[in-house]
Amino acid sequence: MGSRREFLGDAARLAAAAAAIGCDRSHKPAPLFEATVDVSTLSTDAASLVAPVIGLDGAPILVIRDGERRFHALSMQCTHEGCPVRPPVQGFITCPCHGSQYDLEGRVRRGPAQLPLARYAVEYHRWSKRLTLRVDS
Amino acid sequence: MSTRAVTASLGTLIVATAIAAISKALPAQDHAGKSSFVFVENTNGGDVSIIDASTLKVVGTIPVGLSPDDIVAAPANDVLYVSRIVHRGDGRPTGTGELVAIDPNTRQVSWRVGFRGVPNHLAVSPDGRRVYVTVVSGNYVDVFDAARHALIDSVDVGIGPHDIDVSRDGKTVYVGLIRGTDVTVFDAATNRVLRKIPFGANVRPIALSHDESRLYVQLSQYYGFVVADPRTGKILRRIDMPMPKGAKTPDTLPVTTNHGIRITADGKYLIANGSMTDLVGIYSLPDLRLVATVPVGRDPNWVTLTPDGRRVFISNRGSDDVSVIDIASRKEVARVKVGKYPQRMTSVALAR
Repeated sequence: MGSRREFLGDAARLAAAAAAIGCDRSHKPAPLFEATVDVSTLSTDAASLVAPVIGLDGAPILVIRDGERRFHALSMQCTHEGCPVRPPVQGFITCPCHGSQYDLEGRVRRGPAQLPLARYAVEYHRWSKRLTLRVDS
Repeated sequence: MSTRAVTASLGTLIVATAIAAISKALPAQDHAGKSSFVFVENTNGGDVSIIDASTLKVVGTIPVGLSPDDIVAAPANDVLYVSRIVHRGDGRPTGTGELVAIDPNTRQVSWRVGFRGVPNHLAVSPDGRRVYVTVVSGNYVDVFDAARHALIDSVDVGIGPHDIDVSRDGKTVYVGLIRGTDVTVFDAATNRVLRKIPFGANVRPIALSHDESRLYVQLSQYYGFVVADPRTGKILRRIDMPMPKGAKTPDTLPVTTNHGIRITADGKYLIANGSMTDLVGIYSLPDLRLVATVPVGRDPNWVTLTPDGRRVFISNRGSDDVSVIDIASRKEVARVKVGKYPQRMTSVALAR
């Protein structure tokens, strides 16, 4: 991936080109959901926190650190019957109601759930140690 | 076909033949001009199957929408209530629920009302005026006014309320916590919590004795049930259920080990599902002596009884059918195919 300056340069050129041909589509539509979370306390791999925001589906959001710059943000609503799942223990997120288990990326490892946990796109801001969570429209 | 599959098929054939022979010999079940019907909610089919308890045939189906979770009858048998977990188009729960009312005579949905939170089980007050809905995603029981179809109160009972039972005098409500380890008891007049009874594990279906002297409780990852004194909160006994012959208890039990426990109308028997082992235990009361184990379909989930108390219906959610057990002979007399993933049931007496 190019540098941020290069990226901005490309974006500016695209915007200028769009304006030149009379269709101003240079800005993306507003995301359906966006929030920024302080993840400075997540200093070790597989550490997690419950973000102090409510997600798009009305459920809390579980933020997991899965590497130096790798994070996952998952809805805490079990896809089986909607019980809130527990933060990960030994790499597994478990629903206390019927025992469904998910891995750190929200994929089903044990039923009865059949669908993965809903995911939020994440963007890590290394210097501020903050994570932007987003669902685009 | 494997030897095991052949054996299973032969077994099914023998059971089916025996069931057919016994079913034909069954007498009609009319009582004071009324007949009994069992309404079975099919969670993955989004409908309710109606079984005529005399003929043991499915006589109708009522669409209610995907993921009905519980179904109960008002004491006057004039309304059925269904709790429903509402899902989005992608199959995930929305975090909201619905209370659906059905007229059992016309077999039509009368009204439905939505609310926040994921509902599980239901109970109706003996006077029919209140409908209690447990909200498992939260920590409260929603109280609905049946006449106004309106949410009138939410009672904070602790995290993850699941099954619920009301005392026969209507004064006390018992709520098991599936995400907690207590049964919370609240006063139905004030909606204030009276006490909490700890069971040490996540609480699954509960059954209150008719005289409110005993509370029978199934727990997650326990193959049996626990008996408590609901007034003192004292745990009196733990009853391990028997494994089928030749089967060993697994090292790790499934979360839903047992689901479904009820007391017969005459108070003489306790019926408890062994969901993990596809059997039903019949225990005499009050001594809790195991008088029979009856093999049923796959993953039995709920127990309901006909009003005359002669038959027990067991929903087998793993085989999409309902086992009918005759209490006197302690045998399965029929297995009735219903919809997809049948879970909870209720029985009512209706004019034919």
